[in-house]
Amino acid sequence: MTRADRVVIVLAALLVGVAAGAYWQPRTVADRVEVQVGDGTPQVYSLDTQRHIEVHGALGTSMLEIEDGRIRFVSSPCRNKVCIHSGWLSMSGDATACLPNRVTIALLGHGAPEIDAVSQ
Amino acid sequence: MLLRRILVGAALLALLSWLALRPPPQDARETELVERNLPVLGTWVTLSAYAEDPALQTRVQRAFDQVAQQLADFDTRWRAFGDGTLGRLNAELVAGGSIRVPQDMRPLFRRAFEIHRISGGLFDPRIGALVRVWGFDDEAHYRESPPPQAEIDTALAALREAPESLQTCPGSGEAEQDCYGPAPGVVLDFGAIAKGYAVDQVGERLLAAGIENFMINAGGNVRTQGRRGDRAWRIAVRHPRPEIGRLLAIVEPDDENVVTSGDYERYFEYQGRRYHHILDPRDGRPAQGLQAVSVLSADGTLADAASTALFVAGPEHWRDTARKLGVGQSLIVKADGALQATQSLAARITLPGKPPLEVVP
Amino acid sequence: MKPAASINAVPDQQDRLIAWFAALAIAIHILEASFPSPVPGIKPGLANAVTLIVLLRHGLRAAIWVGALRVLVGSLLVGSLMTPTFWLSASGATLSILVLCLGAAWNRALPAARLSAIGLSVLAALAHMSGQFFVAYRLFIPHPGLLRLLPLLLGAALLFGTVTGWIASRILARLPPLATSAVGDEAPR
Repeated sequence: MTRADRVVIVLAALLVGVAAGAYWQPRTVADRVEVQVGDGTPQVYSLDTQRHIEVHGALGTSMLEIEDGRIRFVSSPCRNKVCIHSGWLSMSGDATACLPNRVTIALLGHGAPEIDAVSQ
Repeated sequence: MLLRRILVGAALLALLSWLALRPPPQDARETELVERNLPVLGTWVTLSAYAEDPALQTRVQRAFDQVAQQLADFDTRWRAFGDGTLGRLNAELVAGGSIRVPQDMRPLFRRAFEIHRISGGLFDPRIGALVRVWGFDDEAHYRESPPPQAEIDTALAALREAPESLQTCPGSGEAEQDCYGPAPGVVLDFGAIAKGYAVDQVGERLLAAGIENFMINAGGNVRTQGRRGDRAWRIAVRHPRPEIGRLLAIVEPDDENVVTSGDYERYFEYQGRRYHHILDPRDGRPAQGLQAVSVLSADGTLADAASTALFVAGPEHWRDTARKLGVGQSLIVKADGALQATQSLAARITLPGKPPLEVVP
Repeated sequence: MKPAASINAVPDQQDRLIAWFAALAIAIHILEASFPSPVPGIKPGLANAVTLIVLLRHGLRAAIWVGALRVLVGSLLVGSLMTPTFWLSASGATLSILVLCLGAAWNRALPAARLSAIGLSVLAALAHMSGQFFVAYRLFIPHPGLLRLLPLLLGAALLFGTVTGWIASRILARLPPLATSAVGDEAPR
């Protein structure tokens, strides 16, 4: 390892630190989700109501399911189903997408910290 | 030289193949949580234990196996109708006979009748026939409109005639009161207290197994013990009107139970009015005045029964009833959505959205 | 290297070299494709280690060939050709090669402040991750929430870059020396 290498590593570490300072947010519970197709207008849905959402993307229809404050891809016309494998999302900042179908979902929250159970 | 290269190559290949082919790793924070979901007690019961050490995780799994069996037995035993023990006792009662409470069921019977007395009848384990009249005993019986008043009256009459407490068993010479009846037309239903009691039992079983950091969620009856790793367990109370928000309050229990009774759990709507499952034993109809009651207590059995009793007590009398029962930490949502809480609970909870909260001493 | 004017159908030493390295890079690309990732399609770019070794031993042209073959053939075999994942790979590989060129140029201009395979690899890994993230953010998930992942991804790139750089330097030290030296750096002493 040369001296220049060490400088590069230190600068890289600084970059990571700056990025962390700028963009890192503690995970909080999400209460709504933004669904976007391509660069169209994002549609916002509340996570409180149990429902299924059909999203028409570039390849076909992706099906989303919202239940008990969380959301997931149920079905999608892509080959690799990466979106479905992301599973249930419930924290703000969580996002996943069906890239081939150009469908993205991103969760937004109101600042409540992570919850372990709900008394009802 | 060549051998070494082959070995290194093979090792690398094995490593890369393993990395590629293994199932995706779980989120790091989830591997310390051992969970079990059990469909029992008419709902989903989730057991969670925080365990970093694999030996402890094994112990937890074994304890969960035992708990699963424990709950399954409990479930059958305490069903108000059917072939289980309570079901057969109820069949006796309805027909006009008397019953003797089996040994292992006595603690809960006694507790339930004691709370019945202290709450001035607001919590009533004899309410089974009324629950059936309204169709809330079984999903198959769900109604879409209120039952005929005549049926309600019949059930109420039977209730009013029936003994208010357990009695000494005839000819037994025992001082204990472990018999009940005759109470024709009466069905004993422990639905408003059984879950809390079951959670207490499960908690004791887990503690006895040396498991100190766990959470039990029996369909919304939540009990926590210890901590979740480096932080406390965080329990939210669901908002009774989800169109307003999902979470009403967040609290970090200290080895306590959080139990909620609400008008949104089991209900039907008819001609614009909501008819829910928390019946007032005094008039045989759904209790009016509140949307939800949440109670925090180290005693799960009490918390469960108290949340029902306070709900029936209504906006005017919940505070008095809470005092009588010894539950000092309660959160109330009134029919108009206004929030009230006792002082000790108000100091501990967070209300996302910061709605106005009236603190009641 | 062969003069560009004549086209010879028989593969020569250089072609074989490129093919061999490309195959290695493709194999790594495919294995990496099955790793899970916080953002679908974004990968650590371990195959870039191969591109780096090729650059340092055989020059820019060979490295570009290996990089391009890896992205195209690798994506073909994984089944992600012309999918968003492909564009993520391509943008990452392109930016990575660009940065490696700059690094090599730096080494030539300032031999006193030489970057070894480790430093070059870190720069390449950061470039690769940044390229992917940029495309993902602008084209696919233009959601501010995605930025939350950037520190994590960059941190991972730093880590992977250091590790693959170290592995590459070890490999370079073991490979037999070439008749001619390619670009300002070779096996580190």
